[in-house]
Amino acid sequence: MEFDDKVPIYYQIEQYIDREIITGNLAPGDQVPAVRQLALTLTVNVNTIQRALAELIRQGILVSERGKGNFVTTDTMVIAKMKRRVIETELAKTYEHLAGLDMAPAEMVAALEAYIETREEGERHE
Amino acid sequence: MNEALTIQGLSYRRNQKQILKDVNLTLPDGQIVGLLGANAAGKTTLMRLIAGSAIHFRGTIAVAGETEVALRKSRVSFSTQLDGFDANWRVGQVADVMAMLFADFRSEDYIQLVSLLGLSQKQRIKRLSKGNQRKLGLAVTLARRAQLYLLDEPFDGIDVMTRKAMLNSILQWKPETATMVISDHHVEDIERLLDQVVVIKDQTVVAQEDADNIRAQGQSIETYFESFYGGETHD
Amino acid sequence: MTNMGKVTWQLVKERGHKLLQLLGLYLLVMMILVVVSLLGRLGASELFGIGVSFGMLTAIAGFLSLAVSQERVWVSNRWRLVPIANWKLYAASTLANVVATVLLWLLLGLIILALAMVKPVQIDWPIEAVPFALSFGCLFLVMLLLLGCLISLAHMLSLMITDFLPGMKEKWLKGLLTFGVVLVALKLVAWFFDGISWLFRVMGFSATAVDYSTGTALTAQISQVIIVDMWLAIAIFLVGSVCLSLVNCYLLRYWVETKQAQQTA
Repeated sequence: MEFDDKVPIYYQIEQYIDREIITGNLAPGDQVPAVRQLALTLTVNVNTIQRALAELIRQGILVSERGKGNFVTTDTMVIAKMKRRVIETELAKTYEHLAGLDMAPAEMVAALEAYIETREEGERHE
Repeated sequence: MNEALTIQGLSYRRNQKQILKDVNLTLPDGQIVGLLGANAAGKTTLMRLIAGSAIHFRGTIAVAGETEVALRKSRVSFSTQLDGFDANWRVGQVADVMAMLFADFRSEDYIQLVSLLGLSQKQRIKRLSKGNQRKLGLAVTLARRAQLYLLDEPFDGIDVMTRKAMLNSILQWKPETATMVISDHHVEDIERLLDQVVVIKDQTVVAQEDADNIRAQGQSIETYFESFYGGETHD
Repeated sequence: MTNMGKVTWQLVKERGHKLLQLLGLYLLVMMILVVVSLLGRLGASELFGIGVSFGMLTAIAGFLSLAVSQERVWVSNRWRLVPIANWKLYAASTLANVVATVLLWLLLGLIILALAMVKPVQIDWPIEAVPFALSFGCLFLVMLLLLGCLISLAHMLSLMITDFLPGMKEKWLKGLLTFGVVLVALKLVAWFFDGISWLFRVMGFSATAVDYSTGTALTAQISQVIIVDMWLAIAIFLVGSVCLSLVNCYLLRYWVETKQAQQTA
């Protein structure tokens, strides 16, 4: 997995797991791979993985069961809240980028709608 | 919890030159620490002093609480211990010799590491490419169950694929409570593995920082390291 | 911590391997000469003479090989990083050399004996000569031990000095230093022997007892006196070796570092 070397790695791992949950690769109640396994898969230090998991457990997104491992929470409210947060982060980034191009909020909305329409048309033609 | 490494007031001279001066460093258990510094800054010398290859120093060095040199050696696995091996030996023979000389050497681990790194038990050391020799050195170093691992520029002159295999070996084989110090003057090689960063400059330790704390300030480790050199480029 | 016995055993194995190669060479040469002799081209006593001299040559080569192996141990990371006290490493290496030397001499002796049996040769071996020969063997062994300690001392001192002085990049300067150390070492040896002669004179032994040339006609009485003198010398050499070894262990522990790889620091 590629990492941004200017952002704390534990944070990027949190984001990675959030995404896995959002996309459904990790369903509610699923067991998260063991710490060592994750470390190997992502080529990251074990301590960093543990730090990320600890934070996710603190946020309630993951639940730790003694002796069994870490599991995705079954609490759909928590997951929905997390999804909203992730989406908002993306929107914030896009907003910053477009604002940097000197676009007003109304322009942004219009441009996005137009873009989506063009895209869907293109997909219909394939 | 024992500290993996405690160095106090370490000074070392050689050939009438001051190589290290008043070094103080404490490393906790279970961490991967990057030892960064320009060429000839003293990284190798520091490792040699910790491991016991270099002896005439002032100050104290304690590994897992032990200062006595023979006990320190039993706690440290240093990547140069392949130096002096008969080049005619086969990869498999190395294990027998190491097991005889080091009580903490695990032959089963060595065999797995060697195969993970793509080496064959039957090859003779002298027939191995430089990259493969380095891999063998890494396998020997990691197959020992030590409390402190010292890897001196393990990726020097290594191609990308070999480096990936070596990084994976390190991640897979480092015991949880052991601390590993990896020196490199090419930071990008090891950046993402590091818990902590220690910078050596002007014969002493000028900085010791948590790696993710550095990144939390929006810097890459590389940029952080370069900031000590005021923008000069070092290869 | 590693067991000293294991270190010794590993050293004996490795050095023994090298010595076996030398021995193999000697055996090969001897076998060729035996064939030549059986073909009538070489007399029995000539064969024996060559066998003994080549045997001594092999023994000398063996000594050199062992000395080089020993000196390598002090400066290679492979041995110095073994978790064992420095003095134990020194003792293990020295012991391994002694054991390897004895084994080499035994094997050489056996080959020469076989040689004598294949082509019987006329030699007068009075029975008194056996304890004499054994004592002489021990004496020679201990002399080599002392010599080995001296070589280590010279080597370690030169290492200590070159590490201390500013970067000696000029090879000739290093050579000069080694030459100087060797001179000092030889002077020490000369003093040592002067000391022994003085000691013997004080204790009432004659000068001829110090000079151990072997006469062909040894009566039981004379040989007994000489054997006692020999063992005295053996004891003195042993003491000398122990003293030098103590110095060497000190240097090894506090001064002698391993070779560094090509890059600096």
